[in-house]
Formats: sequence, C-alpha cells, structure tokens
Amino acid sequence: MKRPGMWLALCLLTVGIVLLGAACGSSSSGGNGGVSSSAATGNTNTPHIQGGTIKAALHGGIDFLDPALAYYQISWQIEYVTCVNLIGYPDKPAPEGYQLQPEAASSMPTVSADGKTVTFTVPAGKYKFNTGEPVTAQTFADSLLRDLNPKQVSPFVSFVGSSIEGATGWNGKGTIPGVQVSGDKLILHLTQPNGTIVAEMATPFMCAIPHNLPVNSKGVNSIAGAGPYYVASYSPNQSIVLKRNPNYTGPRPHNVDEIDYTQLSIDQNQGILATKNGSIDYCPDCPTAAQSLNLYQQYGDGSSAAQAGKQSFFISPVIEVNYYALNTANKAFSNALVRQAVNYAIDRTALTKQRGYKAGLPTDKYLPPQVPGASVEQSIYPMTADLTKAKALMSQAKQQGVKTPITALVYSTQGCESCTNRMAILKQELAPLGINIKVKYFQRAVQFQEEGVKGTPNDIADEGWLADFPDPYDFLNILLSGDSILPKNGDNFSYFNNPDFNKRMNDAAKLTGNQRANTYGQIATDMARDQAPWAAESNQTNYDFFSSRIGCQLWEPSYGMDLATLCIRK
Amino acid sequence: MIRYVIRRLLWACVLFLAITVLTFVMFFVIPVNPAAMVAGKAATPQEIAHVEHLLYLDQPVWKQYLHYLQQLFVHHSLGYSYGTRQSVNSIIGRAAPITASVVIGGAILWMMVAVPVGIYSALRPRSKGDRVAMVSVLAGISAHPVWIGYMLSLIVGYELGLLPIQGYCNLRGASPGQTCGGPIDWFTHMILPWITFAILYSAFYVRMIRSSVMETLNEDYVRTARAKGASERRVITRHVLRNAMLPVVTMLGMDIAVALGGAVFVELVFGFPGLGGTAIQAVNQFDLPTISGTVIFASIMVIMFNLIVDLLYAWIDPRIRLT
Repeated sequence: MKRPGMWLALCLLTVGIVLLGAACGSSSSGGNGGVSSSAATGNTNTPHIQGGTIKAALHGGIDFLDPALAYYQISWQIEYVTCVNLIGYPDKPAPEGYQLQPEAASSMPTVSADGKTVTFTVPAGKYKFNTGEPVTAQTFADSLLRDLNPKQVSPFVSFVGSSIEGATGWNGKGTIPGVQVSGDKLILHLTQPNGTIVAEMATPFMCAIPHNLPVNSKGVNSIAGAGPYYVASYSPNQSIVLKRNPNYTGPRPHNVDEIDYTQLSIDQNQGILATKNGSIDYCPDCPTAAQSLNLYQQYGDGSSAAQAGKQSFFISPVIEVNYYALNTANKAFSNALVRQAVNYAIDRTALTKQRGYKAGLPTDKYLPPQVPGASVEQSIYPMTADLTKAKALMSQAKQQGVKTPITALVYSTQGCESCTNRMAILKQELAPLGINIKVKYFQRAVQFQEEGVKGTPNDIADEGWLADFPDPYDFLNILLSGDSILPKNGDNFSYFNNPDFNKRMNDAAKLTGNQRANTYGQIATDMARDQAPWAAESNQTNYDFFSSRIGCQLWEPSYGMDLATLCIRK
Repeated sequence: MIRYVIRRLLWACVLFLAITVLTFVMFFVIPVNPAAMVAGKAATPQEIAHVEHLLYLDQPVWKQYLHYLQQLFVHHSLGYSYGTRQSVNSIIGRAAPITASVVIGGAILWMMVAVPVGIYSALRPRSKGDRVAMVSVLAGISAHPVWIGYMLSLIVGYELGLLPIQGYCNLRGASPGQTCGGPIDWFTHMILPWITFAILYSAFYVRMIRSSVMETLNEDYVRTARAKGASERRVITRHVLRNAMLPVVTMLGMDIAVALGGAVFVELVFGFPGLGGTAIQAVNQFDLPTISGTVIFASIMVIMFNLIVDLLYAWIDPRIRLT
C-alpha cells in the first residue's frame, strides 16, 4: 500500500531540521565566557570618520522627551546628550564618570552655613540652544519652576517639592520664594538642609529649556536643546531624530552628525538580528539575558571580534541593587536573628546566575559600588550559603521564642526571565532553616503596588531598585527609612522602622562630601549586620550591542551608554 | 432592508456600550493606581492625590465612566494616555493604518492561496495533491506565527538577505528619522509579515473551503445542473462555488475585523507600531484610555464587518432576504 503521508512527513521533518540548523547556525561559536568585566571604557582612539548617521532602534520606546516628564532610563540616556545642566556627570568611565562637575555653572554651587541656601553661578552665553538662544541662570529657574508647576505634573516634584521653599501648595502662577535669579546667580532657598539637592539638580529634570516653553502636562515633543545634540524631530511610537547642535561649544564629545531612532517598538530578537546584519547600529534595550552568552562569546571582550579591535557587545554595571525585603512588620521576620539567618542561608552566587550570563554581580551590600559610601560599607554575609552559621542563628532565635516551621509568603514578578528559578532556589535554601516559602506572582506594577500597602501579607518582596542619581539617600532613606512607610504606595518594602536608624539616616541626609559618604557607609554596615531588613543579592549589569561599524563606546555610570562619544569606524 | 440595517445599528450601539462598560469594570478590578505610576518613585500621598485628581481617578467609577462617554460622544475624544499623555485618537490614528496594511495584504494573500488549493483538494480528494495540501495545512496550523515570523526573518532576511528582516516603512514616503519610505520600501517590508500572517489563516481557509465545496458538490441542485448538461466548469463556478463561499465570507469578515483590532503576533515580531503592539504596551502600563481606545476600535471593526457580511449574503445568495 502506498503511504504518501509518510513521505510527506519525512519531507517536513527534513525541512524542520534545515530550519533548526539555520537557527542554530546563527547563534553559536566561539568563546567560553569567563568572568572578566566587559564594560565599555570609552576607547575613543578608534580610527573613525567624523560625522555620519547612527541608525538606532528601541524595543520599549520612551515615555517622553520633555525633560520635565521623561523618566525612563532610555529617555534619560537621550537627555544626557541633548541637555545642558547646571552641573553634570562627565563623559568618562567610572570612577570619574560619577563625580559631579560644573557644566553650565561656572563652579560647583556654594551652600550657606545653615545649609538652606544653594547658589549656582551661570555665565550667560557659555552655552547656546540650537536655536541660538543663550543659556542663562534664568534658563534653569525656568526649568525648575516648570517642573514644580502643579499643572506640569512632573515626577521631579517628588524629588525636591518639599525642599524648595514655597513649592508645596504653589498654584503655578508667578514664581516661588525658593527660586530666585539675581544676575548670573540662581539662588535656591530650602526649607531645611538637604544633602541630595546638588545631585538632584544634576538629573535630566533640570535640563536647560528655552525661555517661555509652555507648561504642558502632556509634554512638549519638540524642544530646543543646548547639549551636544538636540531633538530635531520626534514622532511618538515611530521615530526620533537627534542632530548635532551647531551652537554647541562645550567640551563634551559629539562625533556623529545624527542619531536616528528609526523604530521605537522593535522586537528584541529581531533587533539583535538587524544589528548583526547592520540594518540598524544600536538597540539599547534589545539584548536579553537569554541572548547574552552567545553575544558575549561572539562579540564580547574575549571574542575574536574584540581581538581584532571590534568588540561590539558590552556588559556594564548599573547603579542598582536586587534584594529580598524581609517584612519586619509581619511575624515571620519580626526577629532580627531570623533575618540574619536568611542572609547566611542564601547562595547569592547561584541566585544571581539565574538572572542571565553576567547579568549581575553578587553582593550582600545595600549600597551599589558606584554610590558614595559603598566602599565604606562592609561586607557581612557570604556569597555562597553558610548553612552552619544560619542554623546556629535560627537556634538562637528559637531560644528567644521564635517557632518553626515558619511559612513565608513571597511576592515576585510574573513573566520575568529569572524569577521562577530564583524562587525555586530560595525555597530550597530556606527549607533547612524551617522556613517554607509560598510564592505569589504578579504583573510588575501590581507587585510593586501591593508590596507598598502597609499591612501587606507578604513576608518577602523580591525587589530591585535602580538609582535616579548615585547617592546613598536614594537607597537607604527612600527604601529603609520609617518615613517611607505609607498607607499605600510606600517604598519601604521591609517595613523597617527603627527610630535609631531613622534618626541616623535623617542626620546623614544633611551632610555633604566625604562625611556624608562615610556616615552612610557606616549606617548601611550597621543596619545589615544588626537588623538585616534585607537580604541583598546582586548588582545588575546592562547589555549593549552594536553593529560592527560603530566604535568609541563609553559606559557613563549614571546614564548608561554614552551616545555623545559613539563614532563610526573607518 | 433599511429596517434591518437600522435594527443592526441599534444593536451595535448596545453592544458598543456593553464593551466599554466591561473594559472599565475589568480595569478597576486590577489593584493598580495609575496615578502612583505617573507621580513617580517615592511620591508622597499628596502628590499622588494631586495626580489622581488631574486624571479624574478620584471620582467614583460610574462618574469616570460617564465622563469617558461624554468625552467620547461630545468631544469625539478617546482621552489621553496615562503613560505617554498623548491623545488616544492620535495613537489609534497612527497605529490603525499599519495594522490595516498587515491585515488587508495578508487577507488577500491567504485567499489567493486558500481558494485555489481548497477547491483543488475538494475536487480531487485523497489525491497526492490533496494530501500535500492537507499536510501543509496541518503544518500551517501547528506552527505558531511568532516562530514562523522569526524563521522567515532569519532565513529570508538575515541568512539570504533577500528581504528586510523587520520594520515598517510609510507608504507615502520616509518620515523624519526613518531610513525607508515610499511604495517600494513599504511593499518589500510587508512581504514577510504578510506571509507570516497568511500561513496560519490560509491553512484554516483551505480546510474550510475544501469541506464546504465537497459538501456542496453532493447537493441535489449540483446533480440537477449536471443532469441538465451544464459543463463541469459552469457547475463549479455558478452552482458550487457561489454556495460554498457563504460560510467563507462569514468567516472572512469576522477574521479581518478581529485582526484589525490588533494582529498582535505579526506586529510584535516585525516591530510594527500597530494596534496590537499598542494594546499590549497599554495593558502593561495599565493605561486605561489606550486600552479602551483599542478595544473600542476593535469592536467597531467587528460590528461594521459583521454588518457588511450580512449585506453581502444577500448579494451572494439571492434566496436570503434581510428582514
């Protein structure tokens, strides 16, 4: 009997094998990983042409290009090259890259003895917008007042709204006493000393904006820029064009003529393919953890491409900490010894590995290494599990009346690449201590909001925090102060509310310089050692992948891959 | 006929209102406050309350719903996105033509494949050609469009370099920031998405057309036509196909309408900023106005195409009277 179906099935099988081969053929070869850092350190000596156009694409798009509203990481990466700030971070790798320096201001600001008056001197005309309009002290007063205007609905209000005199309750008309301009001086009057105000003034929210830019809560899409580049056009969800600012005379690099974001919703896998074949040059949010090993092997620092001087895949550290917040307000983790035991029981290296190839560096510290004070903070807990120590601590806890088994509810993220694996490991690691975990997965925004409701039933929050600016306040005060515990939408997910530490953090917030860094470093050490409201796990890294024609990559520690230094190879 | 159309339009209004109510209710069941997302990290309760007021979120749900309807019917506005604060009208306006490009082109392609293959298979059941067609259909139904899209991009676009890997080009010409545009670029960028889109649907339609034609071939009136000496060609085109196409038209109308609401997989794989991608992004951001906008657009499409299909019935089969 004839069996044409069988032959057809064989044919289809052959086709399938060919397709599979094609898929594998494009994703394998070379290298064995390694552990060295692959960060872009700004090899600006790459032989390159002057000018040219970089074709970029984005997977997740941006929120806004209006400096008062833009808050996505990618938006800030763009604003870093289109903005001039009073003070800013230089186009240099770490550690110089996170040292603030004057930009439009002639020097770092002066702070009055009582810490309540901050004065910037802005020489008029040192910088100009692409339209020719000069940048003056008034320019930055305009930026700040626009941000603080309640009709603008800027997230920057949550940063400085309570610090600037007269900002709270302002109706948006006229000006406020906290923002004054006198000649070339911009004077800020604060309600109380604020050690973070200088770093906050360096965020893209304080980008220079043209005079008379209207307040618009929906955002203005086309704003003149005074940075090395300006936004020449922006079609939401479709394209962005950055062009070199013809009036820019500052020291920052600006190698290419134009950076065109030709797509704002590219698929991540397709983005990598398109970068490989050169139809686009760069997609900052395309590389995923799943692709990282292959990309590293083919284009990372140990690859043959790198040996030929054409490294195009970079892994760089982000100012971020991944942690498990142990809810001190709930019974399961109300005892500090239990929390310390958890810190000894978890294998940070194994947990971090689940996030992807070199996707993070294991840590037990609360402050990421780029943040002032991190070098002072001491490492307390091991990177691999120390069950003996953990069990000893649990025994002590039992003597204090803690009863086992403990059932702990964990909130984690639905659909994240590593969450399920990490939760499985966590379950395995905590079981010997008599801690049985149950995991509930949420869509990320829901998880964040549920964890922030005071009285939440979860005992562990699987969390991460990306800094808005490299300052310890943005980690310790925001995430671990009792002031951050709110009826809802709070950020203190461990509900840690220790009067002694609250006072120490509030006092530290008023300090500046080395004193500030040292104090925060000591607070973080003491908190982790004595109270352990978190089990810190890792500091995240970021992947960047370029087409072979792009060079001069530099990882700017605050804003990511520096678009200003990128060049087109000869 | 007119009475029928009026009655259908009235039902469409009821359906439309029901959909908007459901969208609203479903959104408010999810425990997320968009105002907290808009206000930024570490916002105080006062700042969040201010944003809630501006977004009208401090009102009871029924008031928010009435406000939404008022905006829709009086100002013809679908509102503003919570995420990007753009007008939803403009978001839909930009995305809809892109989705339409995918769906209409894809529908033409799948019908070009499905009709001849389906008829051939029905006229020669169990032949080698029929078996090839049926196995191909099975493969088409089994393979996920995302996988098909990736494979086509990888092989045809990346390995062979015959067509662009992904991306959308405007039909009218390159807009600022785009490196492609115009009819030729538009067409070449559409080929792989059309094929991806058509593979799944043509598989369904081949099966349906085959069974419909086979069923019609056994009808008495077909036998009668043959007995009267009508040529085989005339029997097939005038008697068989015309009747066999009735269910196909029904399904085609519905499929096109549903796909216009967002050809999600194809848009995502090929990076098209169409309605599917817009809707998914809106869901991830809990952006109610944009979600409602895309749902409303999709429901209008379904209602409209349903009506068109019903009217086409009468044209295809004069025995059907719309009353």
